[in-house]
Amino acid sequence: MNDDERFNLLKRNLNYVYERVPHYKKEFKSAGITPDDVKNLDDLRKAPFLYKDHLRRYYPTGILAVDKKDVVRYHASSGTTGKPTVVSYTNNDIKTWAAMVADCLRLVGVTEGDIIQNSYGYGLFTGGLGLHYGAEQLGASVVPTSGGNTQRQVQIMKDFGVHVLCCTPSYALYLSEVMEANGIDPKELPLKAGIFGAEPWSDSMRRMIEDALDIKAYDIYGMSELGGPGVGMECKNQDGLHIWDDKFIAEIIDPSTGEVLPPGKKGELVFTSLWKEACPVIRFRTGDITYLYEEECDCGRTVQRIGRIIGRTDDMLIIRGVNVFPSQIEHVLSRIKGVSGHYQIYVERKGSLDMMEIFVEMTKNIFNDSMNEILELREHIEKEMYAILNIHVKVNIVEPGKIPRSEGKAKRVIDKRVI
Amino acid sequence: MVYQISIFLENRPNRLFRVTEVLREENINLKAIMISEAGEFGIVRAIVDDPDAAYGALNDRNFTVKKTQVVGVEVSDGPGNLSSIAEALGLNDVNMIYLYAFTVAGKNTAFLIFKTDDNQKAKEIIKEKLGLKLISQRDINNL
Repeated sequence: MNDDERFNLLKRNLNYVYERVPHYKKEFKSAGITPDDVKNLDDLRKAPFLYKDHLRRYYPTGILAVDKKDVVRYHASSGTTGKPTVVSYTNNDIKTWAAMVADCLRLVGVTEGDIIQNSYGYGLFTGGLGLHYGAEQLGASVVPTSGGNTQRQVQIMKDFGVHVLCCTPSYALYLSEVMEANGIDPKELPLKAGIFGAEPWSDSMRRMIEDALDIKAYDIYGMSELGGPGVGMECKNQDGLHIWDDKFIAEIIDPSTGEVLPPGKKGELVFTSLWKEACPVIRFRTGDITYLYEEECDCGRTVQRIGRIIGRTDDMLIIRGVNVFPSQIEHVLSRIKGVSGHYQIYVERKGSLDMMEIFVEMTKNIFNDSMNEILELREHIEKEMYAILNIHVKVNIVEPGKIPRSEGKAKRVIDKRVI
Repeated sequence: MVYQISIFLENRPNRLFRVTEVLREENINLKAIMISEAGEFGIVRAIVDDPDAAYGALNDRNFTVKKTQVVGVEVSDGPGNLSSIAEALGLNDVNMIYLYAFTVAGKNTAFLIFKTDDNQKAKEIIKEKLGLKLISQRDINNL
């Protein structure tokens, strides 16, 4: 697609949100512009940013550009506090998204008739259903195993003769360990490729996975606010993720000034959607740090290409594919009696799986010589954490004053993972 | 009535020393002590000669400490004496939560310290039904 065609899509989209979404009209007005001020692709930088916190305000429908009755599906991701960020889809949105994911799969040689084991979680999280619909649209055979029950996953992979595995990269490694423990040799299986995403990973981890499973491992990028997985995808060259040029415009900005950065410079990834009907995003700040490639890919495609995600601008953690904000943990603790506001999050990778522990100070006055009450408090916090975060967190109750205090910004997170 | 000092502690090296160090500085004598653990934390329970001073000193140093009442019983040091207490409590549906005990050299006596889910009822059973002697803080200090 050439620049003129892309600009026309952008223009149509800007007018669409300006007319239909009061939030955008208001933000455009405070920035002193209208869609008419955007006269070429470069002018997109005049438009105001959309932040995750904006989207949170539109709970529970999401920021809507269509009538509520035209929404055929909702997904949600973790919010920065108690409430999740909701994204909605029209029927067309679901179809376009599926086509985009199907294109991602094609890009790495997945074809009709391939058996795809989809171990992304099914539910509010976009990973499971996103890959599912894409794979079906491609004409592949989907085995919707969702996450968990690894023993059964391994059995299915072997018995069904699975060709392609979709999951988080850390879960792929874990699967390989369970296969080994069960005496299953990946070299004897038809498994040929893995589509891995939802958490950052490195080339060294790629090599580990490729060796352990005897496959080619590809990175897929997405985010529920942008629609889900499939926003970016590596081609067979495994060198940068291709952004579908009729679906998104990617920008890299300096997160502190908001200035657009040239290709090659690292900064925050910002996306503008060109296809979404229900909740279009204009200049959405992803919080992910990467860079844009300048040169075209050896595969011959001329679309925008981003490097793999190398960090975050905020304190968001990704634990087993789930986004976790320390503020969510703070929010949960603030509602629990008997603990102080001081806490520390400790993350490490045990084997191939991320483990998160939270150290919480018990207040002095709640102690009553009862072991049981402390155990109940611990269990209560663990349950509340699971209810909000959807992952199991080990809670450690510590003595008051034992969480290190620091002047200024407290060091809340200790992340020992080497990715 | 016997007072016990309970301290919530992380289950890590040196934490016990921090407690005993305070008691030593304040010249407080330990008569009995027990440590229970549940993974990463534990509770230290102690009978001392001056529970108020021990509580104050530990509380001042920001320990999570509590002064609680527990049941103290003096029994003669011989086979079956704990058994009759356990039996009587059990028959009356009183549940023992924890217990520790020590014998006193040369006196042919054992002291039991314990907590039940109904300390009042436990004391009645021990005094009325078993005719045993409930001990006081003074008995402890006279040891």
